[in-house]
Amino acid sequence: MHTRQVILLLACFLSVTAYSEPANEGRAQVVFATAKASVVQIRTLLKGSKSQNSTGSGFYVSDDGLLITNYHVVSSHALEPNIYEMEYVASNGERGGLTLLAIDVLHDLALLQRKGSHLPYLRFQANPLERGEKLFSLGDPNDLGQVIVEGVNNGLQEHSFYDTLHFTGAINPGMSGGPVVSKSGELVGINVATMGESRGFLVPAQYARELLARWRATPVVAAEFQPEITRQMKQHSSALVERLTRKSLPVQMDAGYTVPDAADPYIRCWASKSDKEKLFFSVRSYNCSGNSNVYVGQGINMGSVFYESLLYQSDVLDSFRFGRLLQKAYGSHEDFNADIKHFTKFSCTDSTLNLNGMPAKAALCLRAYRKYLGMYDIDLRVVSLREGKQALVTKLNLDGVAYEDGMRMVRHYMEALKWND
Amino acid sequence: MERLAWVEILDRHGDVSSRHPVYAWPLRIGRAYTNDVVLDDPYVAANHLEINPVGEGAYQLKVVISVNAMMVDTLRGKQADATVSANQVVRIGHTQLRIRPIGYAVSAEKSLPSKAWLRSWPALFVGVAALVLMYLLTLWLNYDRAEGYRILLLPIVGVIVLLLVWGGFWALIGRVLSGRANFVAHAVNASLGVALLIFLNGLLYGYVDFALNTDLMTNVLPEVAEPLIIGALLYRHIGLVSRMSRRRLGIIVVALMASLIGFGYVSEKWTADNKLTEMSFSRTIGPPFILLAHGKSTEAFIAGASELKSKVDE
Repeated sequence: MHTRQVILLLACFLSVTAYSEPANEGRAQVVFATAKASVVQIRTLLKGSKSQNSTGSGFYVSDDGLLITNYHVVSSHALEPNIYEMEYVASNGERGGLTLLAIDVLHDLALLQRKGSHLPYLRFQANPLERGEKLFSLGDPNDLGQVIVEGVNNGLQEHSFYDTLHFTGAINPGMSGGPVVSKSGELVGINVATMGESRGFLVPAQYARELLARWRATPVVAAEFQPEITRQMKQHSSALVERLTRKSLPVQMDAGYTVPDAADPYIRCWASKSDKEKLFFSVRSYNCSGNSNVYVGQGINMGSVFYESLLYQSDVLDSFRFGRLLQKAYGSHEDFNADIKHFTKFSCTDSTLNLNGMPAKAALCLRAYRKYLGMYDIDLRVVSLREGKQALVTKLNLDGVAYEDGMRMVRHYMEALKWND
Repeated sequence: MERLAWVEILDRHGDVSSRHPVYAWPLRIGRAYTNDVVLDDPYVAANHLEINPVGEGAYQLKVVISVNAMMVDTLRGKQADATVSANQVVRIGHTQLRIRPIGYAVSAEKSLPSKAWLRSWPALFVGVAALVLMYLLTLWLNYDRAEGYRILLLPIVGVIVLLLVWGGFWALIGRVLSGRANFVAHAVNASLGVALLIFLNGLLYGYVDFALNTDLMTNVLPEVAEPLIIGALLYRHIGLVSRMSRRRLGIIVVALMASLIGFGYVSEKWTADNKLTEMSFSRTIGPPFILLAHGKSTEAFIAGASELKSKVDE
């Protein structure tokens, strides 16, 4: 018995060694050794203090010092260049200043430049990526020094507004902006986010290539990036609403009311029902949100959409108390920390309506972004005012959209609200 | 001996604190026991004042020997002699007095107030009932889960206790300042006033706005009605504890309300940052059958939003 066990163990060991990579290609040691010189840590510093405000990673895409990183790594410098400056720290400890050349807020990318020549850089992979392909992510997690992480490409993320690759591998904070390379060491993506437990997300390399190409076509550095961010966010707003409104809003019926449903694959809807024993009413709630918000800066995310519908029913409450119940849902407002330096106050209008033949009451509130002219947060809420045991309260939130786009969506949403006997 | 006139010593509120008959002229007033009217005021001289009649209801006053002399109606400065009428107040030292002839025409008898109903126990019963009713109505409107009706009981006991404490507080002040507690009158005042406020703010305004599709009641009317009601409440409370003239009381209450409104306005400016996320719109949802106004079309509603845009763009 004893001898048989030893033989079995030996056999296992031999089989493992026999099926491991025969050549050097695809081994983490080799990829790391080739790529590490192209990867740097990127820091934003409080001007004058040399203390770091945030750290991320970046990499060279040309031998004359052009670097790619995430926009969110350098956003504090992009928005407040008088307060924050940037520097790189290379794997050999060398450091120096950086200039921000161009940004792509929608794909969370930034193009930077350092002084220098004959620098090692990563080449874009020409071949398309395959699902299941082994990839290597590089970066400097939590300021701990450069690491390499092995993972697998799981293709484009579903329900994402912009293309994002799903990378099964441990990306950690600080690795943002770092490159992800194939076995041959060519660039396939850029680390951008993690949901923990090896659920990482990458920006496909083609967007970095496009940013680089745009810069090479018109190499002009903007004096300030806010107007450029606004321009890109308006583009986002228009694309967002276009996708939501190109066909009539899908609805599902509940108790005679139409309840808005997912308008596009990037919108996901959830439903639940609450009818606890002690309640004099039951409520079925449907909420939908789109994975479309774009990080602009600390405390500012734009271009998000959220809508929810609450269907109340009560056989016990009289019409005054039923009205009060609806009032709680209709009047409530999720409070969040909004900074007065970013937003104006909300301004609202409200009225009773004849909404597609159904008596209703609606309120529409608007507030503007102070630094991103022409961008607004929009809040619409509607409550049905029919006699009876059921009523619908529905809300639509659009954050960081252009006015015309917002109103187009508001109209589209209201057109979908109906009641059928 | 025939009584010729009265000397009335007044307290600081102008009320008579003692009255001395005059049987012969001249009348002498001072601290010495040789005087006709003896005052214990240390700021009055031993032989301070000598008084003689100089015609119908008029008197000649003359300071005998005094450092402080006298003041008439406190308007003019110190005087050594003066002629005064029956309604003029003379001040010597810290003492105020006036001289009234025996034939002084007193004002006509006032009839007793038919019934001081607002000071009566039935009024308090009505007030407390109104307050509890209004409070119960607002609680009942929000009663949408079977939590047992006893949860309504505790807040009601709380409201009554609060009312007793509030009435007791004013009664105590009244007792100290004017010697009269007037507890019932204070409690009636507070209960009726608060019941009215709850009725208007918690119920009437919202439902009227809902029915008529306006926001005047919830956003505009309270700005006027609330200071008026609170002002009236204070006017009554303060009136019950002091002997101030109505005019003076009115001025004080108006000034108090004005400063309260001013303070509210300033503090609202200060806390503007915190109200950033507040949305101001008419929230009350009543039963559909009370709706009187016709609803707008969706297009008209959305067109109204362009006004919002110009407001937030400013």
